[in-house]
Amino acid sequence: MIETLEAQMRAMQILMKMQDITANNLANINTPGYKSSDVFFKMMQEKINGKTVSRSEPQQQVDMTQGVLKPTHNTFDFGIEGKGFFVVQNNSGIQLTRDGRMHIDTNGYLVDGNGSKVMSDSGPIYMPQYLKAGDKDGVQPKIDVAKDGTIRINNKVYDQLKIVDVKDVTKLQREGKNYFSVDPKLMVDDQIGNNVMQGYYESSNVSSLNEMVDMMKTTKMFESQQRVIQTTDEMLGRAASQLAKF
Amino acid sequence: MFRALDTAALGMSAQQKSVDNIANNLANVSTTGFKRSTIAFQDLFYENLPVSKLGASVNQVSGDSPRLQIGHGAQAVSTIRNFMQGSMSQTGNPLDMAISGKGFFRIEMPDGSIAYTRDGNFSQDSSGMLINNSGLPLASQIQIPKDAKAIQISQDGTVTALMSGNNQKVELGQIQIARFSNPEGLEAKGNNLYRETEASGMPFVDHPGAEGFGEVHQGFLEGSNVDVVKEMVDLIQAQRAYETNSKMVQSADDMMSVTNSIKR
Repeated sequence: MIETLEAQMRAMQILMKMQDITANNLANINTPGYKSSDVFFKMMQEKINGKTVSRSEPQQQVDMTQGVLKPTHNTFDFGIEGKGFFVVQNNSGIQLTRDGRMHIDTNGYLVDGNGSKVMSDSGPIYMPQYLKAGDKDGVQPKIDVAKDGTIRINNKVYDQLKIVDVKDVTKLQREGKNYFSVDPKLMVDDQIGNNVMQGYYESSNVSSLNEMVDMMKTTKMFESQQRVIQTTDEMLGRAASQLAKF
Repeated sequence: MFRALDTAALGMSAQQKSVDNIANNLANVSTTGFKRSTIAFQDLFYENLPVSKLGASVNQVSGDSPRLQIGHGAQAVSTIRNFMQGSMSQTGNPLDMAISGKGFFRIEMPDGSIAYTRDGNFSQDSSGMLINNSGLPLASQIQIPKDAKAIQISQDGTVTALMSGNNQKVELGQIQIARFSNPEGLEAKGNNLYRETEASGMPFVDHPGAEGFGEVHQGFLEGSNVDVVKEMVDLIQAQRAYETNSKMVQSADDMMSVTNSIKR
């Protein structure tokens, strides 16, 4: 009986964690490039003291559904249509992001909102020409980014945004600040399968409908689980009081 | 105790900031040279919870299988100002100027530093100096002589005065404007003024009409670039997101009350 209580308690703990994840999805409903988190369960069986016990373990994966691309008309806002990621470099190393609101920093590097350098195939994208614009004889360069990520300055090919697909999205690790990280072996260059859209950024793909339903479901499941515990408690109580009459 | 509660509260406060920002945009819907801003959100850090590994399981989870990653909510990290051109309206006032392009007027602050503005609503003080609404002089100092009959400002910023006595044209100087490689990084100081920051980069100063600077138009003022419809739609989004997060607070509360009633 105590084992049963243990299992029921665990179920409640897992439901609380699920609610935490739903809460995080809802909190990021307006975070650009945010990908919602799906929780699913995996059935497990194990032998404890010769008995086969099955239980479910929570697993999580990143929902890679496309977010809506919002137009901004800014030269350095990029959205990805597809399942790829932008690659950026900062003190923590190489990271992936879908948040394409970038700009040129004072040193001439293309950086994202956190100041991390945006990568091309050959290294950080460096465009000092853009800074020089407006010098006495300087000409403001026109920057176009094609769908395959090719950056053209005044119609001349200059560099190409590195876009990678991740082979196994279940291996994606969330790092916060709209970043993901993954084992570099799982990154595949894919500028063909992804369209880079200049002048757009991708909004969060959290569906408030799905999350609200999840939230209600979790709350109700939590309530029923509590009833189960109460019933078990009652049974234990009965066992103790009734048997004691003998 | 229950993370969902804090996460949802953080979500609410992030959306609250978004609503505050939209309120400011809407309040400035007819402010000369005002540029709308939006709030940038990011997700907060994640906690990795290991999913317990099992001994002899049939459907075993390997060591590198996904852990449960639980985030701590969202935060508003920065405001992004949108420097899209506002609409031009004719005022007929000869000292009103509007820039069509990316440039900024340079205003000299009382401490000698330079601030930048898109608000070209200038007038002259008692000595004939060109000043803005707050009485601060234009950095390219232009003094209008007392006996000037008319003032003409060309698209490249050259100011000429037509003298009343001999009907002669006198060149008073040229207005220099500035542009930034990343204007989105400018810091708003209120009174329609911006300051340069590390993010905006150093200003490039040149005369209007130079490549990438834009031209000056005399007798026009640039309106606010706030689009009321867009703000309203953003407001709906922010308000609804706020509401959903508040529902999560309620749910978390319900769950905690359920937990408390396990023991009767």
